[in-house]
Parts: sequence; structure tokens; C-alpha cells
Amino acid sequence: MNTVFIQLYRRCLQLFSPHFRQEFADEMEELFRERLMLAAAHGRLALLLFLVRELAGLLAGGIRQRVYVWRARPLLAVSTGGGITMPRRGGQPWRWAGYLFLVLLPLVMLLAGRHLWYVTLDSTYDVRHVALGDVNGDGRLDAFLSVGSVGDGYWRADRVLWNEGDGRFTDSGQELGEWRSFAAAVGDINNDGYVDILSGSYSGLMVYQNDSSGAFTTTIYAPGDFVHRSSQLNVVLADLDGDGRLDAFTTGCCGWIGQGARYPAYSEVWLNDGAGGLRRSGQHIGQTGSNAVALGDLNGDGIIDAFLANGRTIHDQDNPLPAMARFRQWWRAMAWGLMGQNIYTFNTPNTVWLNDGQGRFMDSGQQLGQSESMAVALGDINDDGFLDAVVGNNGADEVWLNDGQGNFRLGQRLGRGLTWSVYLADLDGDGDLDLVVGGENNGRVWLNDGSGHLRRGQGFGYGRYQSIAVGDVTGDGIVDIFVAGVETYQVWRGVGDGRFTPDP
Amino acid sequence: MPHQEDDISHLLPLREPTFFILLSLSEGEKHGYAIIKDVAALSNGKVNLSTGTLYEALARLLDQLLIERVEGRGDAGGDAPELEAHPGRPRKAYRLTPKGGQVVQAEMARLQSLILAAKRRLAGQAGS
Repeated sequence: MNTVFIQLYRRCLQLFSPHFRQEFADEMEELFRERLMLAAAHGRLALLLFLVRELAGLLAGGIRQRVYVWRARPLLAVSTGGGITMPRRGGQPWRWAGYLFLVLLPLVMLLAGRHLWYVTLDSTYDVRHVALGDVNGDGRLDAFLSVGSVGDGYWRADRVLWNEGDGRFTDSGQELGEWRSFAAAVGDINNDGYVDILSGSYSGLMVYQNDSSGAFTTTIYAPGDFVHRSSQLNVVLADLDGDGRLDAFTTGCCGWIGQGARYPAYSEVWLNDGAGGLRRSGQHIGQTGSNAVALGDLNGDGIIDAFLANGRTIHDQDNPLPAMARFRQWWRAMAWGLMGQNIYTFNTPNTVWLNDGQGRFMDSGQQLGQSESMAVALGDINDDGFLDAVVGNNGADEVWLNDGQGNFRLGQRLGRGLTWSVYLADLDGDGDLDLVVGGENNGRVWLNDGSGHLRRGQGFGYGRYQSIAVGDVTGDGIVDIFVAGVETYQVWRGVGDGRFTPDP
Repeated sequence: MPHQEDDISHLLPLREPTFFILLSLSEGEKHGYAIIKDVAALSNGKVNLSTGTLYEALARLLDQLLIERVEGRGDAGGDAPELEAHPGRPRKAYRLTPKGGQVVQAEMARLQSLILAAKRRLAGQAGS
């Protein structure tokens, strides 16, 4: 039993400053140990009284010692070769500067915190993602809308819009999904020759199987799994294990902490079972938080690899941030009423994962960038034959150039602000890849000069809760920009020279 | 963060445990347990120091240069012979510095002046 008390005593010693503990902890513990034995020899009541007095003394002593150190220390230490010891009292300028600093610092951080948290706290989006594909087999690109939360606070179903030709769409009338969707991918999952849809949502990983007419039956994988872990924020279809069938790569961001448990975010591979179903490969890819993934052969081995765009990862008290960054997070949490939850977020670098051909991914070890990344697209931007990456960030977007071995170096930085989606396509018909960036309520075209340098092109606006996709929806052979909302849509027709004109 | 030796006015008045600790050390160097026992005896059992309170005070008094640490002395047990037989590392003892002695004297003088003032007033009231 004495061991328990000694352990408790050691824990309470943490109330004192580290320097104090270094000087006195051993001595105090030794004395406590001896007095504990003496008290125990006098009976249980004496032992109890002794423990109460000791613990109360530790609490009071610890507080007094911390206050004493705090009062005796200059607020702003000025260090020179020999060091300057600041006087304790009086109206020294440095001391008053220190007070001023401490008053102004929270104000500045409050303002910074509001700005930085704006995206996270106000990121509701009617249509989170648009996937284009010929769903009903009429040769035109139809649109599947992943509908997230809406401005009125209610959840709404995903929608399928039929392309009637020349960029005119009608609602199919189908309401798919149950709860807040994030992203979708189209492809023939069950190998029946018709385009199916894979959707990541709070309800789970949804597969909508096409009956050939564009009517869907729904299969839900991992229902409810998503609520805590946000593990299907972005979904992409590709043959990851070389069996000729489409598998799924799902990303998760940003984890969840609540109800006494931690739910780390990770990405996953779902392998096609050959019968139209998907099964988890079991691999947890990354422990950060990935907002998006782009798949392609990054190291030239003929196998599809993954470029993960990582956002903010949520941590609790195990936060590995430096002290100042932790304080900033703490301050933001306090400013937004999140105190007590011990939840912190921080940006994580983007990562490259190489596929072994069996659908198992290995981290290449690269840590690319420090931004909160929201979207990524792969394409050979500088015409060297290797897939480069364009990453859409909360901040300047980035071009990462591939050396052919899957190693990336930072290239051009583009614009600023929040980017939700990036698309690479030849917009001006010159044979190289151009870029379309979709932000919160506007987008921009960046045109490739042929050497891999992107120059600012046309901007276009849309409603705040809308999302964009890029494809030839008008059937004229020129890439268009499709803007979708829950109740409306708009087509920006590609002219063919990198410019776009909006349909009325 | 040592402070100027000649300036002791800002250290007064002393808290009761601090005064008793200094008073205890005025007799000679003592280690922690001996100080606790001595303070209890000096205060007729009214001040029972916990280790937290004791070492917080000792750290502060060391910082203020009122006491100093004596390493490796085993004969500073005061009236705690039951602990002197305990094997182990040599105990760290503490002793009063000249400045500490001045502070004790100054505190005593302060207390005496308080008592004297009280006596005068009470004597005057009795006379009237």
C-alpha cells in the first residue's frame, strides 16, 4: 500500500516547477517515505491524517512555488553574452513591454484564430462533389451530385442529373444516399458493362449499382463507421491489384475525438471481390488525415500509386506540436468554445504511397508541403512523361513535379484562398494540360504555356454552396465547366482557347 | 535569482512557517525532518509542516540567500535519533546565513514593536 502512496506523492510533485523537482524531489520523497512509515506505525487514523496533510501541503506549496518563480522572473528575458538579470520590481520598460505584449498577444491570436478557423467551422457545402459519367448509356456525360449539408441545416439526398444534350440537364428524380455525402466516383464496379457509382458519405461507403437504365440499387459498406472517423471523404476507383476490376481507394480526414475515445483518420483500399462487391484490404494507410487522393503510376513501374493530399489532423493531449503552436491551438479552442475537449488540429504534409501491385501501399517517406490540402490531381504538366501533381490548398495551391521515380519537388505556387477541387485538362487545345481550380464561390483557369508554367487565365463565379466538375458536357469536343448546386446548375461552355462562356 | 544582501525590508513580514524554520535553523544546521520536528516543538505543536510546505519554503529561502545548503552531513538530525540510524545517502542539511540571521532579528524586532505598541495601548486603557 505504501508504494501506492509514494506513487501518488510523486505525481503530486509535478505541481512544482521542473527546476524545483530537480533540486528537491528526491529529498522530499525520501523524507515523505520515512514519515509515512512512522505515521503507519501509529495506526490508520494517523496515516490518513498524515496523507491528507501531505497532499494539501503539496498542493499549496506547489502553487506558492510556481507563483514565486513567476513573480521573480522577468516577463521578457533579454539574453546577451553574459545574460541580463532583470530587476524584480519597479517600472522597468521591459517589464511594461512584457505586460503590453501579454495583453496584445491574445487579441492578435483571437483575430488569427477566427480567420484560420473560418474554413473549418463554416465549410458547409450543398454539393460537395460532382462526378461526370455516362450513366444511362446515351453517350453523354451525366452528373452525379454528392450533397453534403445545406445552408438550412438539413441533410438531402444525392442526385443524378441526366444530360439531355447540348449541356441541358434534367433531374432523374432519384434520391440516393441517406446522410451527408462527400465525394463520388463513377465506374463499372460489377463488370456488367454499365457505369456504377461509388459514394463516400456519413452513412457509409455506398455503391449504387446501375441496372443498365440508370436506375440504381444501393449497397452500403461499413455503415456508421464513418461518423466517427470520416474515413471516406474522397473516393477513387482504379484497378489497384491488377485483376482487371475496379477497386476503391478511400481517404479519411481528419479523425474524431469524443465520448472518451480517439478515432484516428486513415485511408483504405477496398478490393473488388469479382462479384460486384467490395471488401476491405485491411490496410490502414497513413495516420494523418487525407482530404483527397489522386491515383496514377508515379514511379514508372506500371502500377497505380497514390498521392495523398493531407489536411488537418486532429489530436488530443498527445499533441506533438511545439509549445508555441500548442498555445495557438489552445487559444483558438478557447476562442471558439472548444476548451475542455483537448482537441487540436494541425496541418500534415502530403504523402506519396507506392503500390506493390497487390493493392498494398508503402509510404515513400516524402513529406510534401505544410499546407492544409483539400484536393489533388495528377497529370504530366511539364511534358517530361511523368505524372506531376497539382494540390489545391487552403492557401496557395502547389505544383509538385515528379522526377519519374515518384520523387516530387515543389514547382509553381498558384493563387491563394481556399481550393475545394482541381482538374487537369487541355482547355485551349494546344496539347498540354491546363488547370481548373474551384474555390468556395469562384474558380479560375490556369493555362499551361507548354513548358509546365501555368499562367493566370479566366476567373468564373458561382454560388457559395456549389461545386464544379470539368468535362465535355455539351458534346462539342471541347472541355466545359459544370457547376452544380442542389436546386440548380450552370454550364460554362468551353470556347476552345481556354476561355469559357456561361449559359444563361 | 539572488537578490541584494543589504536589502531585507522587502522580505518582511515573514509567514509563520518561514519564521519558525529560520528560528529553528538559528540553533544550527538541520536537515528536513529535524526542521519539521523542531518547528512543531517551537510552536507547541501548532505548526506541523508538510514536506511540500517545508521544501517550498526552503527553496525560497535558499533563493533569497537566507539559508544555505550543507551537503553530506549526517550529524544534523537534531532530536531525531530514530532517523539517524537509517542507512542511505548522506542527508542534505540547511543552515542560516548571516543575512538569514539579520532577517530573523528584524522580524523579531518587528514583532516586539507590535507587542510593545499593544502593551502601551492596553496599559494606557487600564490607567484611564
